[in-house]
Amino acid sequence: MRAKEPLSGLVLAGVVYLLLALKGHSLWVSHSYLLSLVTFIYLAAGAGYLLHWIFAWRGMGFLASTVAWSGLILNTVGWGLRWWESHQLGYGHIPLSNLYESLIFFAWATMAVYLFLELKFQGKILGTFVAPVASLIMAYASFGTNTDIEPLVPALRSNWLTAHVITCFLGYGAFAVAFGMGIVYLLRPHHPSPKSLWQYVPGKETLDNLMYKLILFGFFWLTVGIITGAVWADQAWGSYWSWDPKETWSLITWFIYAAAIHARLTRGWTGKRMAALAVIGFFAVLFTYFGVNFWLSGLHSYATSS
Amino acid sequence: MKKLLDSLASLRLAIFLFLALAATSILGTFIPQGQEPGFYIAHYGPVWGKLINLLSLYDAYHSWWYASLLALFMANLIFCSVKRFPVSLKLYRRDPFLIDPERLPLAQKAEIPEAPETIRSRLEGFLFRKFGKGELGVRDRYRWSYFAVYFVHGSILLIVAGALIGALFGYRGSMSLLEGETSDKVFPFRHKKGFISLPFKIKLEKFEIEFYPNGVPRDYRSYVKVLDGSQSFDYLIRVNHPLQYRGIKFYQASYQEYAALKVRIEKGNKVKEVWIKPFQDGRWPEEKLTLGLIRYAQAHGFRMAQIWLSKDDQPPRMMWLIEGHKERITLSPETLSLSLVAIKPLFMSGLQVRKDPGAFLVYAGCILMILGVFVAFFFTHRRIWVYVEPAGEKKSRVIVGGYSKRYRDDLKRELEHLLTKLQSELT
Repeated sequence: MRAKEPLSGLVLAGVVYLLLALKGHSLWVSHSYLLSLVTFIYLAAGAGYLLHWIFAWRGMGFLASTVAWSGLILNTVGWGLRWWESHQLGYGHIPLSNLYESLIFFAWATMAVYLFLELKFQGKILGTFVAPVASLIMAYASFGTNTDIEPLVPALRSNWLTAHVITCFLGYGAFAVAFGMGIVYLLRPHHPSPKSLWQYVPGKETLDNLMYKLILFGFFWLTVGIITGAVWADQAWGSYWSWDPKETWSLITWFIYAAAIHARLTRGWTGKRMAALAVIGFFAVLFTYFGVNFWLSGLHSYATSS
Repeated sequence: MKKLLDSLASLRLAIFLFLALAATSILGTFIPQGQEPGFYIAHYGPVWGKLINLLSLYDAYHSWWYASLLALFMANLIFCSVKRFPVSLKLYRRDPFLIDPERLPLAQKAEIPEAPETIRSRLEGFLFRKFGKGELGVRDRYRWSYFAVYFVHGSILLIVAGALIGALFGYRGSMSLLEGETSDKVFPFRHKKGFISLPFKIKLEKFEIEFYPNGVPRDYRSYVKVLDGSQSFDYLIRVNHPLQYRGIKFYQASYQEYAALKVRIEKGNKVKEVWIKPFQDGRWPEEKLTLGLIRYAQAHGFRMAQIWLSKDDQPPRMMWLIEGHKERITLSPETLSLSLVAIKPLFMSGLQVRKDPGAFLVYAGCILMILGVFVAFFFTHRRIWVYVEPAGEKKSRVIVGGYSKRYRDDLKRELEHLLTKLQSELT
């Protein structure tokens, strides 16, 4: 029964939410509190996946998935609450406009892509690698950035913002999971000894195939993300491409994954090299997302949205 | 020559170019763009600074070497597509029945205790043909997707062509309008000299700023009137909502606050009230007096303006006027006293103007690219063969096999599924 884990996750999420509501004597739990709690839920899910892997205990695998699903649901609820709260403040907008909001969505997309794969392929070991990454993203969002809801500056008031951020982060989420698989691929020995933990990990060929699929999925959304960004820039500033560092880095990321996709068509570019490109590509994603804001923003007046 | 063409059309070159473009694109994001040559010498030292200037790294994405890389990329794209198209056409047209059932790719075999007809009736969507002792069935999905990749490659060519047309035949510039002012002049960003005259005029009726309850700006709006010969219409330009008219787009870009002032000048018992507006001086001809606005400001609840005034051809003098105060100034031999009697705040709206005859090609290319990538990735051609031949009384030998360009693992699973389903249903 495949829906068992999402459903028990839904129940767990409901229980957690009710407990928080009772504690706060209000039906509306503060979104920032809820979202910082999701950090620990993802971490717990990661620990569960690890225990499941080490002890090969089915019950723990079920528990880990339940916790992960409840985290994803509460992540969604927290995001929705923030949207609702912004409307209460009189300048409502979809929460996709600053660093905090995009990180919340990034963690959501990463977990959503992973849990979808889990549902489809019934393997749980990769959760050991993906859930802690989502937890780290949430931790950084909750404790490292400004969580205040702020009104949108005129340039950000566009429906293209929504389309642009959602598409980009669906791509980033897929690339994050592909990165996790690339790391596992590179670490996993070809013929693990029967005692080694690696024997529970999917075979290299399966990893390679999943990685390739994720890269295709991510590349499609990255393409749409870059294009919606260009259309938006055209609407707001009258220029669809200005070689701004953020734009350029997204193009660099696009080139790297395009190389990976074309490399697949030539002989000898499966496996190790593909995994390496999945890892390098994700570093480019991270640089596009964070690096440009932190190191390059001084040169161009762009990264104001964070 | 053939060797050269072959390497121009090779996938290896494509991969190399992707990675080379990725690597070289990094340079321009770290080196500040568009500075004077001296800046680089000062910041990076004589050696690196000279190198930066030599390689045009101050404008990396328009430099000769980056343009050549892109040109090579385009050539590779075209040659590669031209070379591969016949292959795709052959794959598309290839007769799926021209295959030896004993040598199907990804083949799996089984014996099923049923007559071939029964098995065939269980297989939906297959086209069967007699083959040797048995019958060979084929099911194709998304065979046309072989051509999607050419749409993707073509879309890149469209985008590049659109960008080139835009760069060659278009312009970007600015137009500043005071409230009430009409103009047809655009000052282009690129060519420092001169202006472009539009074939119609724009009048700024009103400019306003909308605020959130907490005082942060929410929107900037320019209410304009487009005057084209005898025709005219009103339009509201806002951020993210440009005006498009006759292939030219106008974007809300900036604003400036000015004011029109009514200044009361007293000289002995002679009194004159003069209007001065931004860029439009006021005069008192009888006294040969000229005065103009330098800046307008508000602070601590006071409204004030800095103005200049000159008599005859004497050098102008500057002074501040504060609302409600009388200021004296001595222009020898006489003394004047000036005061602000009326202040009418006046906005200037900065519009960015763009003409890009290539934009529609870029947009068409973008749509084509999204559709093409979608089809190429998610509608990959999958072909399944089933060979059924009698093997004795009420018994058949079944072979399944398949071909897919991308998702071989999935196809393998689908084949297994197909075979086990047949076996479990018919045993």
